[in-house]
Amino acid sequence: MADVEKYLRAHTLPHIWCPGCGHGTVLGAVVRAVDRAGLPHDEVVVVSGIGCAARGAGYLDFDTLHTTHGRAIPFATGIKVANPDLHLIILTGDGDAAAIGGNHLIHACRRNIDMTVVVFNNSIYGMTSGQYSPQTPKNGVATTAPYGNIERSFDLCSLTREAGATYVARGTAYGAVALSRYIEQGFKNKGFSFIEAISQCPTYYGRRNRFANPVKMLEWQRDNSVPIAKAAKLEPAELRDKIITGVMHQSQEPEYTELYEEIIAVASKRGS
Amino acid sequence: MVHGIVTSDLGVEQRQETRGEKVVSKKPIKVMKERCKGCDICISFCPHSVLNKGPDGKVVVSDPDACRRCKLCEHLCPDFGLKVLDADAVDDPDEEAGSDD
Amino acid sequence: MTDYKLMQGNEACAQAAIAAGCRFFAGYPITPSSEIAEVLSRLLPQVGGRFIQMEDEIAGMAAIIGASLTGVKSMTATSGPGFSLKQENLGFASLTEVPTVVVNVQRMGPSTGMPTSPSQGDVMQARWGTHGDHPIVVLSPSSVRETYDLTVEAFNIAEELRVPVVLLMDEVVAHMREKVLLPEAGDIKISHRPQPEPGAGREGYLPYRHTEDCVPPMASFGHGYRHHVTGLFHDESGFPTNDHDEAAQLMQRLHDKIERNRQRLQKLKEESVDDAEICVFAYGSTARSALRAVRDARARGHKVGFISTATIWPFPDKAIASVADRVQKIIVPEMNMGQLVREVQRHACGKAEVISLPKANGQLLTPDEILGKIEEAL
Repeated sequence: MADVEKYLRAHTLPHIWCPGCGHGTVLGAVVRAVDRAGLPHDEVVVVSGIGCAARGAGYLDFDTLHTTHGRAIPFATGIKVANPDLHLIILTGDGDAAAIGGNHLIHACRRNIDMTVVVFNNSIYGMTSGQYSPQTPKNGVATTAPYGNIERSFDLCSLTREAGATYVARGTAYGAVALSRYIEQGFKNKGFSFIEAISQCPTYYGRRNRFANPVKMLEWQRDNSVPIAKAAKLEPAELRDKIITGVMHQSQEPEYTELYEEIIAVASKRGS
Repeated sequence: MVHGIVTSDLGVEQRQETRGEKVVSKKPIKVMKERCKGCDICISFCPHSVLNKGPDGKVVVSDPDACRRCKLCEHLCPDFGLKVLDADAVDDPDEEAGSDD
Repeated sequence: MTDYKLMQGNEACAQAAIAAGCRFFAGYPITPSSEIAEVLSRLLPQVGGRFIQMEDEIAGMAAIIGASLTGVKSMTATSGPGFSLKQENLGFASLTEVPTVVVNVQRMGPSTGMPTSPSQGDVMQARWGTHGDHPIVVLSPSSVRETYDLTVEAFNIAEELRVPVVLLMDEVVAHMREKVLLPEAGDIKISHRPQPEPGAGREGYLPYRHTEDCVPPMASFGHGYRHHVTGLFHDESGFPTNDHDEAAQLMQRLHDKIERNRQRLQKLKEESVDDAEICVFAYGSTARSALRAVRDARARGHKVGFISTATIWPFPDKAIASVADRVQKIIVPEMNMGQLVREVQRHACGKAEVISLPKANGQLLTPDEILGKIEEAL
């Protein structure tokens, strides 16, 4: 079993996340996946944007980069293209990835650039104290949706699959063991890997939406998760408001940095 | 090999075996109290009711003998506060007996 | 046989980047800068470098910072609307002290403006476009050859001081073609960022150490240092801090880094100022017209001097103050509504009359227009 301590900056703990926040659980799943996948410690770079999820980067003992809101993916793209030998892990939240960062998300999928994005989806903007995000469910209550959210949310797994990601999966903080396996598979995929991790924000989303405590939120994740194989046999109405978990998509496509190596080979001949 | 029953500060009995100089503990879970935020997640989801809330609001391993080392608590803990120890894990000689309970 | 080339300003910029060691470009097409991206998309892979056209301007700025953190010299190029978009990440590079070069080929603004017409309208934006107190180094060439030289210099300054450097071109210098004789590769000075002692390892490495020269050694990602880079205010270890004394120290060091290097950064050219009663102070393409106007004025017997600066920021405050001591009037022609003239006024401190000659219609200021202003001032 992984000794996660060697991947942690112990002096930065305890972390800033609230008691019962799912982000620490998801971060643990990421770290265990790094260990299982055997990623060389000095070749991993963790890039994050802004928000509670993004703070995860500071707690991990790798080269870490905490960037601007929504922009982790293009920063990571620059790192990866400049040094394709590095393993890029992006920690991002639902607002960071799907609102302000949405454009970068879909283009990285389209390029199939080799990196693994883990979205810590707690359906809220936590760091700024509880505004609704693109992932807040319809009718959910938040500080900027006091009468209830009237917007639909994305199915981020469908979005990224359609945009070209070659590995897409969804897990939950409750299902942390399975989540870690999905992330590990994401690392092993040579291409753009996207893992949505349903997490809980007990302080903002939880309180405003009648979840008494973090345990209740994990129970909700447990009771509303439907594995993809089972979901395939259910009617859409039965799946409303459910969390479909598992590997959503896997495919093989040429990877961006490998294609660019071919460009370099061609150009070097022409230029000389 | 000598078996002994050690009573920690909180009165929880803990089996210990000693092999010569080393003390081999059967303590199944290490709790890093400085990290624990008392969220109750591990306590609620442990299938064998091994864990409980101590007087300081942090987790204690109240029924170590019930532990099956399934590691669910370690996976679920949001605080990196729990480590499930292998059955033959050797106690850190610098740790006081029972300090994690 | 000398190897003269007829070269466009944008191309010179791209060629100079390669010569300076740039091996990564990320950007987005925008008139009148696109040729820089086009030339680099062709040249970079030839030398083992990498080019990527990003999905937007913000991503371009992010990517070049990421690349630089791996130890690779990087650059982007844009114009007004893109420069506006890049501001947040430009501030990130400033605070995290990541060397990189941002070319802004100025066109008429604001907004979409006149994409194919020149301006010098982004001078103040280059200084203050990103939020928060931050110094910035901004260079502005007046010719194709100078574009080449200043591009190399931009990379060198970026590396030596661990700063993003803005190269403020304008549409005229970017799109004109001039006969140039470029320097031999061996004659070009190339600087590299200070790095940790080889073999020193990560123990005790402080990525934001308050060193004597204000420029901390910079480890690259992937070399085992496992350090943290964040846009939050941080202490020497790179980790976030809310300690106000730490914040003050970082803020001061970032400013000292530029202040103590003013001499090195200053790039002034002067002609016929010794006995001048009036001086014309110009930069960018306008400096070409200004020089012609000053020479014409001299030919008519007027005591006029010419000063141009290739460094816009930090502004050559002492030099201008000194000129103000010696002349009666300083004329500042600019392709804007009067931006750098405010700095001239501020540093002249009333010792000389400062006369703005603004032109913000998308056209180059002509020598005759400047001569006319000189004669009006006599």
